[in-house]
Amino acid sequence: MNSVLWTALAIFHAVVFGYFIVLNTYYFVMSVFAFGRLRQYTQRLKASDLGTLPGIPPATLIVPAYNEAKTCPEVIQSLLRLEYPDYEVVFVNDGSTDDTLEVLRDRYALQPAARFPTADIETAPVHGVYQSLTHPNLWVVDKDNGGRSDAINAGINYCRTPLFCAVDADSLLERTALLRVVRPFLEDERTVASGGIIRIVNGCTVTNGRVVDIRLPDSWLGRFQVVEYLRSFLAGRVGWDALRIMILVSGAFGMFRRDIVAELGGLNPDSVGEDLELTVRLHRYCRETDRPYRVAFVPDPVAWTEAPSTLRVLGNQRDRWQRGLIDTMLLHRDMLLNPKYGRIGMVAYPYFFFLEMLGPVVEVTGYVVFLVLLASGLIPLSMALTFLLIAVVLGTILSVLSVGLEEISFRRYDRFSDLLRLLGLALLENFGYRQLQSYWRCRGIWSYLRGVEGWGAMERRGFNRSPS
Amino acid sequence: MDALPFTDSFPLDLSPLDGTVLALQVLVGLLGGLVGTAIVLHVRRARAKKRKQQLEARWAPRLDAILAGTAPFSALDDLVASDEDEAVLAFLQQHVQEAPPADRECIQRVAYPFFTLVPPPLAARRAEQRAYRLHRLSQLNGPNVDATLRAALHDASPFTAMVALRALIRRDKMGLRADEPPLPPLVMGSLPRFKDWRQASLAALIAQVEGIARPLRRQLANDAAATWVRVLAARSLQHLADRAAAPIAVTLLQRDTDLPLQTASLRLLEAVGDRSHVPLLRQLCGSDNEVIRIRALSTLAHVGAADAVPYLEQALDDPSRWVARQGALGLLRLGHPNILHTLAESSHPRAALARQVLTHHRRAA
Repeated sequence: MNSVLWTALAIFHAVVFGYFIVLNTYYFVMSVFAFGRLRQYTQRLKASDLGTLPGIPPATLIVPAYNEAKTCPEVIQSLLRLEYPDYEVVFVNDGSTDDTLEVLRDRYALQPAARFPTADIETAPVHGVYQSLTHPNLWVVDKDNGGRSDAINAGINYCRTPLFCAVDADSLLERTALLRVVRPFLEDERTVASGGIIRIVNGCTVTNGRVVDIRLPDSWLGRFQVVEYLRSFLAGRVGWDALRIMILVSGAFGMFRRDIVAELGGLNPDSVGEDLELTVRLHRYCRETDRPYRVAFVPDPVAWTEAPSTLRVLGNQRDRWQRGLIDTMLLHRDMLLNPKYGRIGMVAYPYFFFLEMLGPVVEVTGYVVFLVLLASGLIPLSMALTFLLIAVVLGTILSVLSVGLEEISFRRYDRFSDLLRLLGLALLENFGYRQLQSYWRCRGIWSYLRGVEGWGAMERRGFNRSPS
Repeated sequence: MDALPFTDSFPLDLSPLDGTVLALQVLVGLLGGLVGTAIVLHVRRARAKKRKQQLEARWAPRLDAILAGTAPFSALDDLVASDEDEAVLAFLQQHVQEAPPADRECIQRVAYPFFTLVPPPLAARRAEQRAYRLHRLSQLNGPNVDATLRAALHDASPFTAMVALRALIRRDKMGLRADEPPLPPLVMGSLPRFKDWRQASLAALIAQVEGIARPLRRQLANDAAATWVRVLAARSLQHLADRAAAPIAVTLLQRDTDLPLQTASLRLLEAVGDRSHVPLLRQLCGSDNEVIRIRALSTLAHVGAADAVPYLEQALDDPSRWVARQGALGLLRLGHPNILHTLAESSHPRAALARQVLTHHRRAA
């Protein structure tokens, strides 16, 4: 019996160890590739003046919104001041129960206006289309609630430009964000989608729709999310782009070719991970039709977004992300390790499937078994501490690498004190925050298995305003 | 430490614990190194920023004096140390970007001697460095700028070549290439480098080149040229509204050519066509291909005047709403909103479309 137990433990130990090594190696490799790509990109910026390039295609900003009365004025204000030669804003009021539409009607003098639909994607009923008298390039589509994907699809139906950019209603775009995120479409006509970076606005000061003072959030939760986002975007996405395995264009800020997305039927309204699902579907479609294509990531155009500030809301968010991930992975599982889908099928998909989707189970089980073994004295304390320290140090290394990538590139957190905080957070997140993430993601798996649907509520606190 | 009680039976060999401790030590060392590197990077950049501010504080008053005419062009030289040549060029480049036109030539004359003290642009190892130095050389009108830019059109990196192309076109527009080889052959020869670029943007860019119309027409008429080059040529000629290209577009439309070339020819005709092209356009309005019908209607509305109205009206019944929309827009363009008003108030299947187009027209007006 004992030998069976030991064998089982040994096998489990090997699985956990293997997962641990593969995951950290993956992140390390991404960071290395990200380093080269970031250096290349920041140097290219010095030689580029994209604003003077002729023939920049018109674009539409589609902003799905549900109960965003508090933040939508600032968001729209920032969107109407972007530096881009020709663009429209289509704000989709997705059946808000607060006074989102009234706020917009008062602020922007909305009047009913017929608009020719350019696609037939099925959505919840649209009650009306409005145009602003003060800002003719601002349109509002008012519809029944159907969820974020449904709202974006309604926006796509009314999109008249070759490109559209889906932007979250809680995001503030920097002035040159569109000019930067459109760049891959100019340099390579095969580009079908391009993602920008999401940064956390909590703690920053916003004036007239612009982030004017960048600071770390006051709360520990917000700060940990900053480190997490740096890891995810600067190491993860830049690395993916360098390896041409860009499998996720974030729904909070991504630019797409309208014609192809409309042809695909828009976003999947049944998925809570609609951004991942759309990007995977784009890859799938282009490969199945032998269409030369590119999905890019640009590390510079920034969308500032409000991150969850309570454990409950953050937990719900991560729960939802995990459900969305599982949904997509299972929906397109025939891409897994399928050479027909190139690097996406052979590299990116396996990573997401085995490490991101199943990984939390391995992690949480690993923690539990570890604690049981430790408590029962079956492993010596010295060994336990050694392995624990290795895990902590490896995790910290990856986060410090991301902070380093920030230092060599954009250095938005300019203060030395912020750098020290970020480095400290890289260590501290291993003592509770990461474990919480694993728990929430496991909870997401359990939610998925139970058939839980929906987004949960996001509490908006609004942006810090400076007296102006 | 007592021997572990279960080592005999535990399937894992725990003697590598020593190796694990060693690995931990290595990792901690690596972590320490990374943290130190991050801090050093931050401190270095903060110092570089401070140094840049100090240099600017040193140079800016002297530059102001030069621009005011109270100091000679060489007045900055004695304030620049031997290791500050790159920095002063960056400083001057920033000022030339922000300076009014009257001051630009002055700043460029100040910058000129410093270029002989820095490596030539194309000697840089990295493509981005070459691109940046070309950009700087062009903005500051440095020595051998045109020859360097021409050479850079053949750079291994398409990004660098594009920076050179844009710089050459900009200089040409500003009249800074008077004694240099003509630009059109250089541009046409470099086009294959930019095959992946967005055609519409590339077409708009090369349309800015003086004298480019003739070689573009040659390419458009050249059946041996690649389709993408011919389409690019058509789009550029459309930007130029080059009437001499109209016969070529007509010839292409009368033949069974590729769809992209046909649509590009129709767009070109929209810009340069006249009523003599109406019979051809009428014919194309009946094409099996929806895209051809749309473009033909659009072109007809631009060139056909009264001849076009019946065809535009007929298009309102087209099975494709895109074609119908084009018909409606064409009717508006030719000053027949009354047809759409009547349609909008009827029970015709396209009544809603008529209302949408009329609303758009009212807003635009």
